Amino acid sequence: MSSTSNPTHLIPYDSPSHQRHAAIFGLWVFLVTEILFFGGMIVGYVVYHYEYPEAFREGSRTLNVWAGGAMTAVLLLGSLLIAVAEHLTEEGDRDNSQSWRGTAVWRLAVTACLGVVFLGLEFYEYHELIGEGLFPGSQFARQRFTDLPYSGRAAELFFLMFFCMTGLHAFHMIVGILLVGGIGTAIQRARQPERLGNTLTVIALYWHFVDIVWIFLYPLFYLVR
Amino acid sequence: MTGGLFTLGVIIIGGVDTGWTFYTPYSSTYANTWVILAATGIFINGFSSIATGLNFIVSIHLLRAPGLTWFRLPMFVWTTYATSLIMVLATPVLAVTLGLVAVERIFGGGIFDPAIGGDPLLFQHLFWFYSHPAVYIMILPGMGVVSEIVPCFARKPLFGYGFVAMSGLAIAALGFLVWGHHMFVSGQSIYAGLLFSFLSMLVAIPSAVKVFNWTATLYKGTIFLKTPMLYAMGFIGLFTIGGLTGISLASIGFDMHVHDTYFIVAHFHYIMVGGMVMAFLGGVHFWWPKMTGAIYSEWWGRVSALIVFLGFNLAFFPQFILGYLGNPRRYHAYAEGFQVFHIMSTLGASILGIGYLLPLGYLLWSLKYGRRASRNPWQATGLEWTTPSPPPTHNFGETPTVTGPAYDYPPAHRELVIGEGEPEKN
Repeated sequence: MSSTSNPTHLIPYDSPSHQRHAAIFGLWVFLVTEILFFGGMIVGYVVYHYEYPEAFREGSRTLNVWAGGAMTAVLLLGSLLIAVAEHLTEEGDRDNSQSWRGTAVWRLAVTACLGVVFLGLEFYEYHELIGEGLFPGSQFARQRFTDLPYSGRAAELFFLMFFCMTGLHAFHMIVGILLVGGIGTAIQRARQPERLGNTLTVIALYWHFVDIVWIFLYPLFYLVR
Repeated sequence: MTGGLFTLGVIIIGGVDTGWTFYTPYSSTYANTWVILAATGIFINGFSSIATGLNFIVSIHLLRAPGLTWFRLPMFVWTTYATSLIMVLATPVLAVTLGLVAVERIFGGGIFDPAIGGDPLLFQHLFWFYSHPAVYIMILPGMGVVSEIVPCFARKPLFGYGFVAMSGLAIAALGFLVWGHHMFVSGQSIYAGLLFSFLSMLVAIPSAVKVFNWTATLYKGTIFLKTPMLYAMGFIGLFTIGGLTGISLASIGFDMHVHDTYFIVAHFHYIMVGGMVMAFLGGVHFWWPKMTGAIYSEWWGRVSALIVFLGFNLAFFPQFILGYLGNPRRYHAYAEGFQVFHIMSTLGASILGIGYLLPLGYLLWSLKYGRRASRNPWQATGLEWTTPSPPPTHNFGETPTVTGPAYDYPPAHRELVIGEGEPEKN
């Protein structure tokens, strides 16, 4: 698609900044759809929290609030690093120097690794919960919650929402880790890495969004005890 | 297409027994069929809707030609914009809802199962939060097409351009606030019902703004009753009937009476078939010379437009009466007294079918045997008519600059020839 007379931007755009504007705007629209996607589940959460507040408190007490806190911290650090990497790229674009490349790449690598640490903690928590019989379904350990409505099954709703919402978030994390790892590798290898600036900005925006979703999920599940 | 393959595949291997709405707990607990597979197909189609809407929104914001300001946009672009907003805002909610149904079926939790604490009404709320706006996804582009056709064949600028543009956005916005009118008898709170009833009636305002503006565009125009115009006029009439019965249905008392009867079926089809399909056919006939470079037979075009209009009314008008008299929908048997209306309806549907098959024939025929179309066979305004028919891959040799408003139609002389093929002058 890229025309030979105009190597810095693609055909329908007038200028590189026009193309950048379109990429960022497009991603923002995409993030709006993501908000509604998670929003549907948050509506479900609100409805059942309202109906069974005690079940949600009980459920929340079984989660490890410190692990959740550590996960939050890990994500926020990653967000900071990717923001710095993106800033470096923009500066590199201005000065036409390539010295920024190495520093940006290792920040991206650390961000991706922090994402993996986050998932590790999360999946360890899943493992523990499933071991305790708290995964929803026929084997759910409802005898632990017999004083709750529907002979304990109201607590099952808490765990159902927990696994659905954090699971959906984890899926977004996996995509994000692949994207951040991918753009890091691409910048490392590219002959003109400054031309990957738009892609990096868009990926960084996505990564920040996935972090913000967690900023909502953490209090909704871990802090309502 | 992948999504379509899933849903078509489901129909072939046995279908789903949930009804099209997938209401829980039928779909989540009791259905014994291919619900998850069907939901997967719908989920994939949802992705394509979202991507399409996103593409349109970004393009309309950032890729307009120089001089093409927002208030010089053709109305079809405005309605596409409104449609795209609905697609990106509503579709994700349906996707996540179907996801929850799938989770419930696979893992056996009880999100929507009242027996273990879930709330089946939650499903209906989430479902209609998408599925009501979805009908506006269908009708808005049709309104855009009609807004293109009417000025062209009345040879007058569109009356009240700004109002027509904004009423499209208003329909899109209000569309998000009326989903509860599908749930008047579901057991939702009576206050919610009152509010949804009121908000649903509000939709009539922007819809009427459009109808009145199209009519005002016709006023003192030089009207050419070519095929696209016949469809557009059909749209205006049928959409008005569909819209007015919509207001009746928005009032709770009347809705209780005709709920789940043929009245609903008739109302829905007056909007979707009388409205959207008429506009679609009008649009196909309007842009056919542009899309394919071929001129179809005007005589056959007019005949089939007439057949479609008559067949449609014969098929669906009796259903208003049937519904009002109490004939429920989705039953294969009915009381004897209703038979005459059912016969009329069947006859109308057969005529309608002929009306739909005819264009298939003469449009395909025109591809091979029709006269070649000039750049602008209708003498219409708008950028698409300045390129050759059919347009080349890169639509414009150089980026055009727009200097005037849309629908800058000169008053025509009676003898103005439109709809004729002309030798290509390049």
